[in-house]
Amino acid sequence: VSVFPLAAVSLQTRVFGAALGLALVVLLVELVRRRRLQERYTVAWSLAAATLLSVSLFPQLLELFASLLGVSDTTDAFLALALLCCFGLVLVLTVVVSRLAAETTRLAQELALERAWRRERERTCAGQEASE
Amino acid sequence: VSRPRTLIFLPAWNERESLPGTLQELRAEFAHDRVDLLVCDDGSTDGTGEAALAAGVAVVDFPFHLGIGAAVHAGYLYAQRHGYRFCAHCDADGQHPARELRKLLEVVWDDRADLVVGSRYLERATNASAPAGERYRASFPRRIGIALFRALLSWQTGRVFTDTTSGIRAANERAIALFARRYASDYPELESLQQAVGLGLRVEEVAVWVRPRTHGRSKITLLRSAHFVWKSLFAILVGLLPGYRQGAGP
Repeated sequence: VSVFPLAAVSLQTRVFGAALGLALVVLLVELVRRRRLQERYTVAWSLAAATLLSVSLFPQLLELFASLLGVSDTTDAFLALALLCCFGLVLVLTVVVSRLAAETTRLAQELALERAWRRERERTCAGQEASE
Repeated sequence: VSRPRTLIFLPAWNERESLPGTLQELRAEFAHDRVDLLVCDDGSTDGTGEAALAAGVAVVDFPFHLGIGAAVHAGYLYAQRHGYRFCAHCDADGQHPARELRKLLEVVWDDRADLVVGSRYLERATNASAPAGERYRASFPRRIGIALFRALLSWQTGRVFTDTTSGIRAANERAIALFARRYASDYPELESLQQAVGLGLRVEEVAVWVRPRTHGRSKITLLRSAHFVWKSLFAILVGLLPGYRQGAGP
């Protein structure tokens, strides 16, 4: 497909990528086991790890990606893919932060409304006692 | 004329200096109406909440600063949960005269609209009738922004709003129910107009006269203005998409 002659991924890069992907999987499992990471957030990270592992094990995928991207060096394609994974993860985080911010706001509002309610009840009670 | 039970709430962030005067003016204006006052203290650090309590009004106080949208939202939630069929809100800094708020409330009380927005730009005559030297005039960048949003919102809703960023409003129970469910967080005035018009509420503008500030500084800075322009443009464009749920919760 490509008009560029592709430089092959070196074995060293592949081994490094695969090791990193495996380490990520192990870390994910361990964090979930210790209840430090919620299962729902493992989806995005697993996708990142899977991407890393699959391009390391099957460099043809990376070459395909490089030709799609129009770059001649597979290392550039690798970096581009890594960057894309980061973007995806950060975007997921921003979505989570947005939801948390909305929830925090709502909690603070409910707390404030509750406090106002209690204050008014206390004032009414105090008024009744005074009139008795 | 006996007017129905109505809530007037003031979102306030560090307005201790001007709040007592604003409350006093509202009390005097609505002395013969069944109007209750509420201050939504948006995490003030200058004792605004204490000043409001000392003045004997109800206070909804956030544990930290949440922003004007959350403060107004809390006011609508309060109105709904305490069974008010009408409410109004304006700035706590005393820029909005109580008499102007009454003009807005008259419209919802008489059921001529569901949501009434006070406009600083609707009638030149109103501004001209203000005391000498007290005419409201926006700065040049602000006027450009105002014109832009006016055009966009008018294009989207098919009607002309002269003041899309006005913070002086009155609402009936239909508008209260809508805004209690959802109210935009950052720069909510524009989005709330979109929301109300999109869901078929009767929205009207009434000309109001606005005073220059007496205490403190406006919280609008250049960076905040830029953020406002960006967020509002985004909100308007997303609001144009088919299937956007105007009334949906957060």
